[in-house]
Amino acid sequence: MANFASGITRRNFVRGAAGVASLAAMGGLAACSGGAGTEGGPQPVRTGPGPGGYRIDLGGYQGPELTDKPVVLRFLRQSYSDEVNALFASHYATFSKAYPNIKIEEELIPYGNLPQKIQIYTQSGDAPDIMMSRLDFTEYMSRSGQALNLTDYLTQAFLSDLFTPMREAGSSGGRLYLMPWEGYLPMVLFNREIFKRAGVPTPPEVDKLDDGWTVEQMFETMNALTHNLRKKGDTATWALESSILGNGGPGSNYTQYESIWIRNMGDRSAEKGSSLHSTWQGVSDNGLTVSGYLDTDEAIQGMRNYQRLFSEGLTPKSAIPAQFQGAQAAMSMNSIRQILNRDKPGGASPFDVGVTLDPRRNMLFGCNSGDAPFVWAKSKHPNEAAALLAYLCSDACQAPFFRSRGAFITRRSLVEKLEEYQKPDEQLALKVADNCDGAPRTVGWNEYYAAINPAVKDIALGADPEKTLRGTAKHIDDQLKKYHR
Amino acid sequence: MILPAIVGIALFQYYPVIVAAVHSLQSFDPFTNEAVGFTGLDNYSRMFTNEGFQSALRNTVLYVMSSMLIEIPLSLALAVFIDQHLPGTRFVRVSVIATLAASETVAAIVWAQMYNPDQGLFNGLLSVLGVPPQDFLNSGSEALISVVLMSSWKNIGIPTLIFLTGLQAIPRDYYEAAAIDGASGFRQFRSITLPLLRGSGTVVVFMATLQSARIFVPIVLMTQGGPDGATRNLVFYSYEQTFQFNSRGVGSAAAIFMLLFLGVIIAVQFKLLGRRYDS
Repeated sequence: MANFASGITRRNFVRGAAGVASLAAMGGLAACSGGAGTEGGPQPVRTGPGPGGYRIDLGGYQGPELTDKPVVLRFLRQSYSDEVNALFASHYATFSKAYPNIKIEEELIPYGNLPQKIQIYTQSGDAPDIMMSRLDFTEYMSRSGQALNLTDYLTQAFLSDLFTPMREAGSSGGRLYLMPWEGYLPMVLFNREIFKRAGVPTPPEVDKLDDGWTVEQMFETMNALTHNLRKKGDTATWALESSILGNGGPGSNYTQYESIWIRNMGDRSAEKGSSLHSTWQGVSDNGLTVSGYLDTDEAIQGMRNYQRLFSEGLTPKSAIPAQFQGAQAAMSMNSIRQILNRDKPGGASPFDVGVTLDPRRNMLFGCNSGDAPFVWAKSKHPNEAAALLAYLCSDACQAPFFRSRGAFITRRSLVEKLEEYQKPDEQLALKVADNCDGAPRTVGWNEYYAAINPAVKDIALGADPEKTLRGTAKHIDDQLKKYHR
Repeated sequence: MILPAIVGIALFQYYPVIVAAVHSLQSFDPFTNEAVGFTGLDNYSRMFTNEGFQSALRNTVLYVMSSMLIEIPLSLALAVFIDQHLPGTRFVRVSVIATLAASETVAAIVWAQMYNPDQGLFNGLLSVLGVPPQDFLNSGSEALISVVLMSSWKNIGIPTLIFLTGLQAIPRDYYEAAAIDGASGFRQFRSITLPLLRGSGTVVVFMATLQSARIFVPIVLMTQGGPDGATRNLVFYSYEQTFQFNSRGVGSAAAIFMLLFLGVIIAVQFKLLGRRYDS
């Protein structure tokens, strides 16, 4: 009450204005949206004391004070390393110490199984209160009414602090549904020692995005590496590491990896409606048509390039864990996380590591769609779940998470506080962050993702790219028809 | 006394089938997953015209046939061997039972590693024999049989035990009488063992049919139905439609179709084998 009795402060004014704005936005959207989540109109969230007004620092949380009744919050997420998992446990302990009535239970599953698990849970009607998803699923999670609108639970300062592309990727209709948790910034790491051993020049190390290498230059390098290593009798070392995203191997994570090969054939600055622009966009404006976007001539050529990785023996056809870290691959197309982790035990620095950009074709493309938890809209304890999520996104929890996991922080103010980001490679990564795009924006990303991953794997294993992409685009179109209603 | 069992069966066996049958005739809101009305046989129509379904049906038949071709002779041979009480039979018996104890999930993961074309055990063994490396799970022509081999390894225990029980129920007098009449070992097997194992064989055929038509965990963990749909069966198709493509109506239609399909196969088998068994 003291907050409200103290007159109109700047914070109260901003909070009030944000509340009015969000109410207006909700009213407007509710009027034009047929989504289940807005059926009957969402109830406005009562604003609580705000930062500094709770028993512990709950970061950007500004919702009602948490209940005193016994509550069990369930959190579904991927299993991290033991060190990171222990970090979560210590955060829960701190939270439960302040709120002894709130118990937190986790369910940890392999990362690649999260989308399906969430799908199964939400269909069952008994889902965990918080679930780890990815920013590419924002449209579905919001329009299906599965994800809680977090906007009113969070201060405007917190929302503004999120990197804009990531906040936008987690938002639908101007409201935040999925919390940007860690950014995915694709880069190429290389092992200088393998290059030296093979007598092949290392990739260009640049500080500007325009100075990176092309797809053709990358293939020349990989072929030279492979040829020279085999000539020297080294049959175990690969030019490029097997994908370690998702469950590993080709077709394990189109969003973050394989889409690079298609979407870098497009051009975001090309004329809208042109084949180049459509290739970059990946789906129609309304998110319901894929034919003409995923199967353009450019996209097919992109998949032919991708197929060369396997047909020319430059990368394995199956999942092999930690090839790059084990010095069994000269290069790794992966995220900034590997760079941030390279000096840690088990990181990539038993050898001399270099960093460069992903190869460009018609443009430099990288998808920034990273992990993003959401609060289940049907949770019995939305305030407590939103508070826990906000707490886990606070500086006190995110900074150790960054140091432990090497994740790319999604809030600008914290990035600026961390000295690790001042190094040249990390500065290059920050430029990549500004250049990255989200996944194709469609309410049917579940279907898109489920169809394109096996298709990409088939192409890796030798299927005709044109036939496969055209068939897959048609298949996705058929699946998206149900959203036309 | 049997009421709890009846309730259990009704609740966990019949009720889901009824629900699936109803769902197969309905359309669903893709956002809420709630039924929005009956659509007649639209889901079945969409399913039958879908290439993925057609290949899944074809693959299901291949799974059943190839599994039976592997499992029935092999389990019979193992049972006969174990029944002989020769050196090594104890090891074989324990090995067979161990496959039953192994987790199907763990087994699928281990087999997937052994099938790995770049670092797997099988290609290592083949290279010793001078055979070029195989793609196994990555090959359209080898993936299905690779899954069947893993699944047969996992499932071989129960048919072996059924045959073993059948063998041990055959009176030894028959063999002694046949031996006195000068029948060779093969003749004894053909004229005594096989006819008297017909009952066990019928049970094994039914079980192998059902098990092989329902292979799921190895497909999910080893191939995800690929490459190019080469290992997708009806169960996986139903799962894909329901949980990956959010098409509950089509997924339910596939489940109901599979139930009817298996019912027809079992009925035919029963008519052929059961009649002989009765006679």
